Amino acid sequence: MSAQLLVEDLRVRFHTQQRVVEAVRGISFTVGREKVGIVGESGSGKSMTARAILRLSPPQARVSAKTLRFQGIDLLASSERQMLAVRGRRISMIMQDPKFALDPVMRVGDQIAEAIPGERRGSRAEDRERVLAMLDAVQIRNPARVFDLYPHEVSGGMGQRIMIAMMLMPEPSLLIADEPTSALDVTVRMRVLAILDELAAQRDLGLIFITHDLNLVATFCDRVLIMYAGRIVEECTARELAHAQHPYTRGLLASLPRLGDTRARLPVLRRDPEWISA
Amino acid sequence: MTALQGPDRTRPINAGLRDWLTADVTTSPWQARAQRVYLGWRRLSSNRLTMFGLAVLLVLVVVAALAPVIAPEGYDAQSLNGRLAAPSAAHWLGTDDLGRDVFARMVYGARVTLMIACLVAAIVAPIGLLVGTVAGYFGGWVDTLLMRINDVFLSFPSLILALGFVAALGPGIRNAIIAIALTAWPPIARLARAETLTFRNADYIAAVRIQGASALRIILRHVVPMCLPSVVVRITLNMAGIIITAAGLGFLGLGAQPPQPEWGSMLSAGRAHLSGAWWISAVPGIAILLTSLAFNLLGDGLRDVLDPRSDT
Amino acid sequence: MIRVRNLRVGFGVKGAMRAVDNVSFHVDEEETFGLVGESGCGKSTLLRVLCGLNRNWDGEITIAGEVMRPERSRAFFKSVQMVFQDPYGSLHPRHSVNAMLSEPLAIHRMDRADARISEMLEQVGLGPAFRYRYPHQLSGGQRQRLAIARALILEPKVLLLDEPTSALDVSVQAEILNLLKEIREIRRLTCILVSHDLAVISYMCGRIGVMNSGKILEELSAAQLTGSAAHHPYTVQLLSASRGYDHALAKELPD
Repeated sequence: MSAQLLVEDLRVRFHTQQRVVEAVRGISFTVGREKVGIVGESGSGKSMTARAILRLSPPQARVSAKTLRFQGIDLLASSERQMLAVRGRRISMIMQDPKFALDPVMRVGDQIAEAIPGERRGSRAEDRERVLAMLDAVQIRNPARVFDLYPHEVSGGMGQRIMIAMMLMPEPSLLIADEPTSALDVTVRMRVLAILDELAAQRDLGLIFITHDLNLVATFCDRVLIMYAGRIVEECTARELAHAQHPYTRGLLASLPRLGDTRARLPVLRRDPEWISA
Repeated sequence: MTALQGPDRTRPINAGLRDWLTADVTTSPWQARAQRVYLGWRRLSSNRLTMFGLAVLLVLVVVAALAPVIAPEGYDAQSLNGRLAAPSAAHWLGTDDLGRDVFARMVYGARVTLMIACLVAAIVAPIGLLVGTVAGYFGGWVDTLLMRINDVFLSFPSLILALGFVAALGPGIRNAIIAIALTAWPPIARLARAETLTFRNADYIAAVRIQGASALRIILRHVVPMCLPSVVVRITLNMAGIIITAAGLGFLGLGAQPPQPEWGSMLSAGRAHLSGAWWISAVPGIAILLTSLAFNLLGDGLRDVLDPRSDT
Repeated sequence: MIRVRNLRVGFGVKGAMRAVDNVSFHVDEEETFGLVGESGCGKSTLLRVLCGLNRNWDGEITIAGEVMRPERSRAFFKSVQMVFQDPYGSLHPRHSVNAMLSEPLAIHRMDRADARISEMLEQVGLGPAFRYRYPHQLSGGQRQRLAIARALILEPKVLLLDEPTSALDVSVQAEILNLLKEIREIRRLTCILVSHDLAVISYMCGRIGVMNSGKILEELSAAQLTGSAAHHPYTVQLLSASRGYDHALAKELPD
């Protein structure tokens, strides 16, 4: 499978008054037309990585990399205008909470229609048809009714499906999902993931799935990257995750309680300072 | 931060204090509080405009306190021969229409202004906080009652209400202070109430409720500390308005009564001589301007430091 | 120890919507009862009624033999305490650790405050170095330890836990769960643990109630949950969803 996204030695630094904080310390990976999960705890740098790819890092951040290329385009060297053609068009991003990611004063249908790239827009009626078709594709049962709703009138799961619809309108080739299901209930989560799974397969998308849920990536994604303190400490296929090598991954897996767990105490992850410097 | 290499006898003291203020492990409540104050001060002092405002206010306080030293002849020394004299070595800012030294009157006038400002703040802050937090915390009919009373006072333009009150009770500084306070407390109460509403249902309030805390304890120890920063900032910013209202009352002859100097009444008295002896009005005018500006700058800086949202 | 019968909590116009709909269950002494369900099922509302925060309820609640009324006595608060979900929201930003722990002691006029605070901090794994810190200087796990210390300093007999580890990182969750297990053993606590995470619930609890739309659909033991005992369809759905993503199963879930 050919890689769409090529990342080599990506670094994201924050220069504060006292010292330099490295949120991402030289990570390298590729993403093709597959589902890649990036797993890490808070502070591991996974969200920073996603934002760095789209050049959406906070203004105080300094992003550098040996290579940051998407479908041949050098993302680091691109100007802001060139990035506009990439963001939302060829690489899309879904955030965690649709309540905060959707504009509260615009109807849902209008927001999705806004996502249609300028050159492909037609008349109002044509755009509406395309939006309704997309709402149908994310398995919303009454697209015409939902088109006219406001974000506060939809539930979490439906909101997330609307986000997915909005992000897929411009027909991107890579989708970055930053904790898309963490705010959802477990059964709703499964439905949303099923939709994402189908759409990714249908449209031959690449998907970067960022989460803290190890169990989820092991069952949903094709490949898994484990991040710790700004580095990738483990890279394997989802199936191999149970036999992970790195002590951090093993520690994390061991510390998770499982259904039917009979252990009196859960083993607590012992952080080795070696992991940061290795 | 580079360590100061001073003489050995002073270095241990400085370094010791600074270490104590930046120590990672605190061993007493005082140390913890001192550290917070120190950090807050570092942030505040990094803002130049705020420091300028603070400096102006400090100068004002010092001048007011040392008035008898700075202007030993007093504010009342008349000299009808030397009236309307231009600024000179003898009279730094000239004399007014009764031959009194304008500089001395400005210095003593600072006392009046500061007194009005501080007393109004001292009255308005507790009342506004209490009314606002009680209304916000209890809600229901208590809230409605208190807020309607609040609305009554809020609906009057401050100067008009102050005028009416002073007209009813007679002019003078004491009545002027009460009148201004009457119109200055409603916005503070509103602010305190709005702040209270934002965290009334927070988990940390719930946690202390299920410890069996009384409403009084919750309001005083949990609600008020969260409202205090906004109220402090707001009062500081409103200070400019208070000073101008006081000057306005003085301008209309309803504040400090002659011969007591008050910047507003000095401004008013100088109107007749604006073309000739402009300094009689200009000096108090500039003093009012600078003081208001200083309070505004300080208030802005305080807001940046005290905003609880930027604390986490 | 805790007996709840026909508990009803309504909200909306004339209580038209039922947050808790005729719920009955009991918890024996020194037992940990789990309540699992998705958001909006009423489990948190139930806890808030039990600990005295929510006073609009109907039904019968008996704790330690005493029948509960909507208004609770001060003695009640000494014997029933709660740990909240969000470690970042359950601690007052302006109070130091010391202030937070001495306040309940002051309210209940308990003696030896200084000693009690030191001991409590040791027991939850926070040393004396933390005593005068403020919440923003603590990590998520440390804050939750403090929340547990605050709940336990009054020496309650019943501890209610509202999703105590949901907002924590995975590696920290294990520490807190271990701490809770240790403490409930030492202090012989009766606990009710609410969570949406079936794995955590089955690990910590002896008996479990599955809630949905304000009702307890099924009550079963932890062993039954993971065994193949007959389950309510909703429980089965929760179980399969919690095992991770499975495309075929996911497609069958109702919309």
